[in-house]
Amino acid sequence: MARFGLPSRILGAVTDPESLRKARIARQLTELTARLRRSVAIHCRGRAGVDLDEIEQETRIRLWKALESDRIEVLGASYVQKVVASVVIDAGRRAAVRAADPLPESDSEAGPAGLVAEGADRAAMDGQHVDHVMRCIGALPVRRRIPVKLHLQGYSLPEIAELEGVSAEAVRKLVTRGLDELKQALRELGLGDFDD
Amino acid sequence: MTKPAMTEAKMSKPSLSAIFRLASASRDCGIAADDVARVAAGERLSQRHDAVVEALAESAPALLAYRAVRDSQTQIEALAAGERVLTALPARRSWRPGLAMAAGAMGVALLAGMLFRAVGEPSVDSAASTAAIDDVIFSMSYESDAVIASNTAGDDPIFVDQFGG
Repeated sequence: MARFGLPSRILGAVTDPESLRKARIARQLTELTARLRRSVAIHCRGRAGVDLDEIEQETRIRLWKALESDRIEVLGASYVQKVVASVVIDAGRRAAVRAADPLPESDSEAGPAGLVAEGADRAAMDGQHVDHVMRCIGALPVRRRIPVKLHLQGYSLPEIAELEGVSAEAVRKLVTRGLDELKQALRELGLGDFDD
Repeated sequence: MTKPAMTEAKMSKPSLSAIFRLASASRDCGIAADDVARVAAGERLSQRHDAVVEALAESAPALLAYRAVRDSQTQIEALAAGERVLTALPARRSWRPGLAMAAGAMGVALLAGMLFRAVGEPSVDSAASTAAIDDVIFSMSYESDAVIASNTAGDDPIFVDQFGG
């Protein structure tokens, strides 16, 4: 049967609720994975050699499986958030493992920027700086230790403020004071001056 | 000449961030994806919150995941809401059943009103017609009046004198 000149096959595909649902899901998954890809590409720059294609594909596969088993219908946005977090964490860990592995005959290829220390940082790594720095950070009071750790890992002040449930100005003071304490402690250990 | 010397002195200082990131990368804290997702969604994890945030601070992949979830929040909610899950929109879910019930009640009231009206109109007509039958005025027929009148006229002396005689 043809209506308005359209063959029934096309009309059926357009009006079938299941086809419409699948089309909508496919569109929304594409939007989600594209946004995810952009976000990871921006934030992982110079931090870790994560595979963006891998993240996009893994997210799509896991969410399709969840949609087929109606888990998303039952668990909602929190389930999707968990899938996204899980995929990105796994990709980040795999990238760290790949970067830590020795690469034979790859002198010309540079590893992920965040995992290659240069100059003074490399010198610091070679000595006992790492242990001292980590011990000094651990000795900071909890109130300042967590904001300082977040700051050193790369979280912005508004992000730290939200995680800690305080104002950005309060976070700025805690981080500044914590870093001053940390640098002072390292100086007292005879390790010299450090940059943030 | 002093500027390059200062720059060189500054560059010779090791970076605390670089040291911390390298140190934390070498020892994976094993933070759970579920915790990262919940914290990224703005949830506070009561007594575990500080421990989770500290673990978040010690993991570069967790930072990446935290930002990925936050950046994709709109798309995540659209996908979940499309599956008729309204956990992200509790306010909407609360007024929907109330609205549906109110609309249903109005519909029933309207239907009932229409039914009463439809049944009530004929009953008024029948009452009126019954009253008309019982009424003295309407119970008498014109034919009987005419017979009585003609009988009366026949006995009347006026008619006897003029026409009968």
